[in-house]
Amino acid sequence: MPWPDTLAAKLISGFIARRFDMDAITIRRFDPPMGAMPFFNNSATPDMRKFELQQFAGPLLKFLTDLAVPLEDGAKDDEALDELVTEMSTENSPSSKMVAAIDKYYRFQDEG
Amino acid sequence: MSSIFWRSMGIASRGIVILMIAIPIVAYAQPMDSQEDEFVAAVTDDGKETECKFDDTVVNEPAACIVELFLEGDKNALRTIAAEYASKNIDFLDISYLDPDNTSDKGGFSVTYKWNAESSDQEVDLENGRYLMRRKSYGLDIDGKYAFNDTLNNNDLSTISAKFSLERGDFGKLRPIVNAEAFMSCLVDLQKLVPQPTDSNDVDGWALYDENYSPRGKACWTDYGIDEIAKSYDATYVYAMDFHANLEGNQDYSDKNLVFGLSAALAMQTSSKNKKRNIFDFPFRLMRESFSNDSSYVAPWPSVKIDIDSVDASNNEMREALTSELKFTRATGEVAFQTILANFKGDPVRFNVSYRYFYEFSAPNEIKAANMDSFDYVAMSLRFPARLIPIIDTDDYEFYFTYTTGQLPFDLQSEKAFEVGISTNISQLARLFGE
Repeated sequence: MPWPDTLAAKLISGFIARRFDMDAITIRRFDPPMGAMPFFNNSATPDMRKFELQQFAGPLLKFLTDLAVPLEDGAKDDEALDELVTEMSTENSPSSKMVAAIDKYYRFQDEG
Repeated sequence: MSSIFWRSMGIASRGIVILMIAIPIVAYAQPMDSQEDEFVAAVTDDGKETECKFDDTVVNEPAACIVELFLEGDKNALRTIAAEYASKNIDFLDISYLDPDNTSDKGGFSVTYKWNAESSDQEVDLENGRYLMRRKSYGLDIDGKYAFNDTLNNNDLSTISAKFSLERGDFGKLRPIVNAEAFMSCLVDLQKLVPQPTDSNDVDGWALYDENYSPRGKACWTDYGIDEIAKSYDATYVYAMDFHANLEGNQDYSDKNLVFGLSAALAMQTSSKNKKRNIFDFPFRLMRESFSNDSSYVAPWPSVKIDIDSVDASNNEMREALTSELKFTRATGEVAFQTILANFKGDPVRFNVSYRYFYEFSAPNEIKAANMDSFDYVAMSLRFPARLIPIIDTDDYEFYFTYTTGQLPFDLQSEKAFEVGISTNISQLARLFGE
């Protein structure tokens, strides 16, 4: 299954593509596992990997904040960051879970 | 009593893995939920070709076919399928097949398990114009790797760990984007005009989508100046300290240490402006830029973690046999690094590495003589999309070559092992084997 056809998916895949010289459509089409994403250090210990994932997740959420994407009612940035890093830490989890984690906390323009 | 408990954990792990291997067999022997999934494989048995076909119309024969595949077919491939299927469906387990480089060692399944419970008090602070993270957490982690069939396991230690940690991250200065609303409207309008195909395997549909969406989508990003903003890396960092109590052991906890200690970690990202200052990435950057002169990728600095621990090895038979000094102080360090070596039309070739070092302070002579006062261990991985290999007509997954060498404190042998594998969605892989 590809990533969902939503604005959240376009923004996240576009951000990843621009950071790592990748093709956003390829990411959305094939939904690669987290372990195949360019921010995932497969050799590091889980503790170390978590720090490195925060180094990508933090700037991604800052990008959404710069775009003034609002949080859902009652949602908090810190919970979004925590859930995003947790999802990103599972090597065999599909990368589309990043979209689900972010969509849960932020309200995008195409959500009405 | 305690040794019975730890040995029973090993037996329980074996039971879990047997279940994990059985689940995919049963799963393939039942109609799949998705009408789009299909498993096709051919087996040659003394010149007789048998075809196992698994789709929405054929559901009666697959069990026998799967058994035959296991008996006569490419067993390693099937083991990989089984391991990937189980790993995908169970979050706390990851199963893989280990293939040591020494022919006298056995290959076999290994299971990596991980479970954790955590309570945290975290905040993201936007008030001073920077995106900052502060976090206090209390947690319990259980993780390790168990290898079956006497397979050489020179991967991670098994640990049970309780800890209190403090983390802080600075992810850069907030820069509100004035064209943000118009940019996102541009993407939403395009989304309505050019809908994305719903099936990853719709090759023609995605080609048409790429043709219609790509130029207009890129225009949305560039016309509003978002392309440059997204490509620009700020200097960011995360640092952390923790106080921990660990129980660490060999894979079945028959030898174990009780550890109390303090650790500190630092991960840093270079900014785009200063990317040439990252000397660790120098050779990789040269290689990367020789393949692509417009690369916006900026490699992070190597991440560093240091632990100072007080170790009680009263239940470590291996140490007890050598010395009566069972309490000691140990330093552990890890340096990890990841980068992109090259990029072929949006397909990155990735390299990542982790080096770990263990050192015992003031080790007794018996320990030094047995070469147990220091250990080091390296794991490295080279990864690239399978479609870079022209003979494989698929875009579905990434190939990887992993090499590990060295010794962790509880390993009895110092050996090298290669691990070659694929990272994929199981239904895509099953179809590939079928084809």
